[in-house]
Amino acid sequence: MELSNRDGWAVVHGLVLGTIFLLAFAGGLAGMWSFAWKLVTPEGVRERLRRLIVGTWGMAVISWAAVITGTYIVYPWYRAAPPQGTTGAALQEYPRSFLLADPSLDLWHKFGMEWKEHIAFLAPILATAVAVMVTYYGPRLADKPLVRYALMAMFAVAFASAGIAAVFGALITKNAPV
Amino acid sequence: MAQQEAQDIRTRDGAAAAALLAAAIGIFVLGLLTTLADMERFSDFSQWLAWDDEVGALSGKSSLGLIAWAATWPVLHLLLYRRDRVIPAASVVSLVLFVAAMVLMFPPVFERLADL
Repeated sequence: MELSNRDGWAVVHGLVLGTIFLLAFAGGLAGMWSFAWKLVTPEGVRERLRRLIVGTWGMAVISWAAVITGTYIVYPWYRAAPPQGTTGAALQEYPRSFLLADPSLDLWHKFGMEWKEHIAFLAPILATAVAVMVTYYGPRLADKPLVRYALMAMFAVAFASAGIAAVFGALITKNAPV
Repeated sequence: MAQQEAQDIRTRDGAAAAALLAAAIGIFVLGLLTTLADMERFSDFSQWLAWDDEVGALSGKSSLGLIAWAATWPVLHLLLYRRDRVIPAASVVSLVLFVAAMVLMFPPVFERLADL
């Protein structure tokens, strides 16, 4: 059993960073939903705020790490052009070309990767905006339901975009590993 | 007195509206560039977007989207942070930008527009 350099980075990008982000979402959403004076005591607000700030900043950092490793480490291996005349099993070293060469697999690139590589960028943008706003408003967030709803919507879209990227990442890797 | 005013300003929703709008603008720019980069008539622009040879046009598209987000956020913040009850309007504008970005970023759409 051996894990190559490429396997290692693919695991860090998708299984470690991507999974942590997706798993942390539920906690962050629940924290924001219940962050209201009518639901918790002043002591509870202070305790939840610390957790919310650490959690949202943690998710923002993780989403940046996932997108940067995906775009600048894993993706170049995926889209590398094969030498002229490369065919058959040798093409498997070049996942993008391998998928495009097979009409039964080309949609994994034309639809899956083309969507994944762009939509993934929504997650760090939105997660960072949420983290900054939670820090900016602090305990006042408990008085601002509309602001909380807006932040929860941004958080949910970040989760959905990361989820789409993660699902296609896993399925594309299954068909054409980097 | 000044501290009290600063505290009061932080109870207003303008800052959140600015963050929401800036994120939507950055995402819209990314969506727009995704479609433009795929269009035959903008092939020179698409090549210019390859800021990193190994990553290709995605490097320029994503960087410009992030620059648009990072540049508009402080400007919008300064314009809106003293205002209150602007979240509903900002949400509507952001939703329109976001839906447009999702359409422009959806492969069947930008591939259909590529030949225009």
